[in-house]
Amino acid sequence: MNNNLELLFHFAIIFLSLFSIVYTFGVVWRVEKKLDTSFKFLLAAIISFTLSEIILILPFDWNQSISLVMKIIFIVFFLAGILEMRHMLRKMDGELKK
Amino acid sequence: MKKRVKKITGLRKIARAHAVFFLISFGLYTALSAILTPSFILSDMRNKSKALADDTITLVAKVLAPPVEPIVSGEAVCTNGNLSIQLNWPTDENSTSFDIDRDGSPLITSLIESQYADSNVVVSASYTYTVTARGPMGPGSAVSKPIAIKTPDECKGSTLVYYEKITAIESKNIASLEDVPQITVQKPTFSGHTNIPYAKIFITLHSGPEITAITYANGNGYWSWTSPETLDLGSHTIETIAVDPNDSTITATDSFSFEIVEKTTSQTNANSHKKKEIKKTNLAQRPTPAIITTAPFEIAVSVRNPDQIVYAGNNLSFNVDFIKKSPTLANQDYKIFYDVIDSDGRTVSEIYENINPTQIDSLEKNILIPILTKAGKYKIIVKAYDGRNLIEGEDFFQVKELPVVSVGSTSISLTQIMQSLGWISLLLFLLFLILLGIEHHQSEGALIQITENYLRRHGFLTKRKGVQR
Repeated sequence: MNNNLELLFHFAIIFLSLFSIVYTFGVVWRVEKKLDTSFKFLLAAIISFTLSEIILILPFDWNQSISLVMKIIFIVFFLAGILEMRHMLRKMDGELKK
Repeated sequence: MKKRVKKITGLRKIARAHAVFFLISFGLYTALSAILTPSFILSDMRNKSKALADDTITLVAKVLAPPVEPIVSGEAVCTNGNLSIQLNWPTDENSTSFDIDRDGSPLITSLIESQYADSNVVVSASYTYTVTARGPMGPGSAVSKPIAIKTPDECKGSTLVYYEKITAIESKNIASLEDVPQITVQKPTFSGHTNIPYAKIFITLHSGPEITAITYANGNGYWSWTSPETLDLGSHTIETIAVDPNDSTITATDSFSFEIVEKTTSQTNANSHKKKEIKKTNLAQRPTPAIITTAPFEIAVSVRNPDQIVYAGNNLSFNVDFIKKSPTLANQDYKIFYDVIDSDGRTVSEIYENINPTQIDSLEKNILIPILTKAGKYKIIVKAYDGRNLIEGEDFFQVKELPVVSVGSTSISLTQIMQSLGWISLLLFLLFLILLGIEHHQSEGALIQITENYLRRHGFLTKRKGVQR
């Protein structure tokens, strides 16, 4: 793919990611307890993902390696958020003892 | 459910305003540094920490202002039959060099004096000049208002003496170099001037493997050429021969020696202020040498596209002529490179093939100019290399791009959009901060904090059908 076009797609991803960050912040500010924790994890995941995309287009050595590390951090936080949410739902459902 | 009750004192408000202001400023600083020049933030932090570490900071600096717009005056002068146009403008301590354009094309660049005599003029003609002052501050340049000067109808006297001068190396005027011209760039750019309009400039660079090239002066006699190969460290000599395209007996020559040194060595020498003798010879005073180099043939390139304009996405068509100079040209393959170079010297495309010049006199080539190529002036360089000699020919062309958006007389191309991405990023960041502020303000107005218990109480979770517990 042409470099310029690739850059354009990266900017589109970053643009949409920034919106996700803003609105996830909005949710975090409105919820408490387990919901708050799980959304905080998801927020950290989105921020890591956005940073990985920004780092990828910056012109310096090691940018791809750092971007990969950020993507690992993203998936760790994302998994933590999902697990937290799953745990909360299982508890509310009565599947787990309180 | 819990009610949010917050009591914000005046002091807390000020502290919060300070924190928000600091965060926004720091964010803008970081974003600007990262987007525009990522290395800036590192050097700036380093400088700040160094400054803090020193007990006493003594700063002696002369703060320059942006270059001042030159106010050009000029007149046509006929002295002993030599017609010239004398241009003058006030000296400006903020300007380091001046470029002159005549009738919209470069005439000479990297001048250090605030005057110039243009002897490449004819009687009963009008010429329009603009002078661009260049300096390190502000926008880096200031362009004068155009000045039109008419030459007299008659100027008789001595015959015209043709000249060819190498005027600048790496945008530094050769006359201003007090030491042996030492540069650190290994692909240097030379520019020069001749009073033969549209002259064919034969360039020979003696630097280990000899580099032979042909370029062309514009109608004002200005030419510029960049070495296509990385030169070794050490001494080099460049020879140029300007030949009238209509009369090959009219020639003028010049040569110039320079040295390429490692960056650190150059800086050390600059600090030691050692004066060395300038090694520069003007061959114009000597009998004109024959245009013969050790290269067995020359390459002449001519672009075939109408008006030498190529639209991005179309083919660049050009002819390559191999002009044999040696009757005993070795029957061997040469690696022929076709390089498209932009006005900043960057290679846009590069292809090569093996050709035997003994079996072919000329060939027609087509190279696709990619659709996203930026509009501007380009040149096609054809190079032949046999392991010892580098023979080169080039021609210029202009790339125009098809617009993506066109409203009336204004059109925006995709490349222009891509070039503005730095500013788009900044605006995006500002939009992010504004949206975040709005979101935070709205959440401040929320009366309850939603928890999982609240969701259950309000029926967000219902019993699953068909499941018995």
